[in-house]
Amino acid sequence: MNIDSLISANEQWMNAVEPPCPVILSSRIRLARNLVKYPFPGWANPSQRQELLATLCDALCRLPEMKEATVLSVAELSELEKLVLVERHLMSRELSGASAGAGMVISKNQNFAVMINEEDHLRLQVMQNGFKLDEIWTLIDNLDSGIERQVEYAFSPELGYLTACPTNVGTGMRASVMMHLPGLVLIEHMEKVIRALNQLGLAVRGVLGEGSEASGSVFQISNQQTLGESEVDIIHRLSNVLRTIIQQEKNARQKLFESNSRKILDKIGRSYGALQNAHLLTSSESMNLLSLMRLAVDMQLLPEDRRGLIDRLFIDSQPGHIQYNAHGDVEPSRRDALRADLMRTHFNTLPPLNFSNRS
Amino acid sequence: MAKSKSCNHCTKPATIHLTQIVENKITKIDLCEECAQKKGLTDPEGLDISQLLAGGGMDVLSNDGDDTPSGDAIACQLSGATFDDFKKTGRFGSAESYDLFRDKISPMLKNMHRGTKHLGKVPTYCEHKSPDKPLEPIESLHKKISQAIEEERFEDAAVLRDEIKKRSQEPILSA
Repeated sequence: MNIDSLISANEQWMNAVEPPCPVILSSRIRLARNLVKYPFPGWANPSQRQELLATLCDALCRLPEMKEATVLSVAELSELEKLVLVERHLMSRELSGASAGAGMVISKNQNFAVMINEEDHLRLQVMQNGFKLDEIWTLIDNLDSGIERQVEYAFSPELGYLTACPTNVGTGMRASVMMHLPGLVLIEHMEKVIRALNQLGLAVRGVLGEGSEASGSVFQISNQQTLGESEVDIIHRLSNVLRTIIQQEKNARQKLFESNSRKILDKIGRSYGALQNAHLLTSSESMNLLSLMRLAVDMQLLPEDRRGLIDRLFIDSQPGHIQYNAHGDVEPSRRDALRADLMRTHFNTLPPLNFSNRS
Repeated sequence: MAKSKSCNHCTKPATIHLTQIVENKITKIDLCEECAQKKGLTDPEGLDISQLLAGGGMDVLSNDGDDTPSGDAIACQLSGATFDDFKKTGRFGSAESYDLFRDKISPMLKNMHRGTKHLGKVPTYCEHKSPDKPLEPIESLHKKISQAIEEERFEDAAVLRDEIKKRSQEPILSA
């Protein structure tokens, strides 16, 4: 199966957002839905899974949002293609390991991505850059209503949408944002923030979801509870907390700069030098260096119009993307060389850091 | 519970006993060392008790009377999955499970979520059926019937009887 067109496309969500959003990289909502009369995917037999896949692909492709969509069958994708889709946040790790009868429908602009026969029959996802949970809710609500007109969902008036795991029952909704929090990481407040968020019923994960590490100071924050609150209330509560975190991040940066501006400028300067000159870079090292470059844009040391490039390199420097762009499996040590080449090429086109803005 | 000294996940003796009190409800988990490690219990900071509950090994003490191991072997018709399967995998076999294992699921949902009643979106084809209040459990309708008969409120009893009859013909899950 060929995913070239998906990968080379210049998706809106990966490029710079207007107005610039220094702390929130992207927002995303996903809805879990199941059909009546079928076991959940983990218990469905192969023929039921195929039947579900065909029915749901068909229903999805009729929707206006899915005009000219890409339809993927997981079984026909190579390991590398799956890894690339996971790194793009289009596919979950769970779906990438799914057996036959699993698939995806991805809209042309890649804002809508639907997984079929993951943990639930349907996992709808809408993703956009910046802080846009309200707009995304409207989009995904419409997409969901379009599907609902064609199939019968497993729904109980008392418990809402019924899901394979009881942690998703009710709205079946997970709203999340990807946040860049280098300030809170540097002043070592992140652990405290994570504990506070957990107490509020919010989950904090690394950049690639469950179980992944938070390299590059990028954290994914989402609601954990799905029952007993409406979708709009969940989004409202989450957004209020996120606004507090944005403020705390801004305060942390201010504090860092006031207490020891030389230290932070030194970190940024060295990272810039490394990206321009390194010949071997691991993916976590490059994530951490890029994280400081994003901070450099926020601090006006680099021009705002380069933010999009830096965000794109966050994704292009991941192991799957490095290999995909090199057209095949590449050993880790060779990957580190290719990654460093990629960074040198791009960072040598950037203007020097403008320290006069800050000293 | 007297038998709670073996691991909730396997049959080995439990050496790690966790107690959490949330809103006056005591939740206890007993695990052997091996399962505790698998669940990441070596790092108490990273402990997420709702995940643990979701992954099985739950033992809600307030439900003391409901200690019938035989109930865990009842299978949902659509998938063949039992409650034991859910304890092992953390996932249900089909939407029917929510009805079938209602008594076991309710206390779990209470611990996991902000409320026990869905307040969000309702599919258009269900809207006319969606009551403002959650459906009363059948058992409580039966109790009410007995009470109505005792108090010679036969009209009320008839209404309740019809309600029970209607419900037994129409599974809660059918939308």
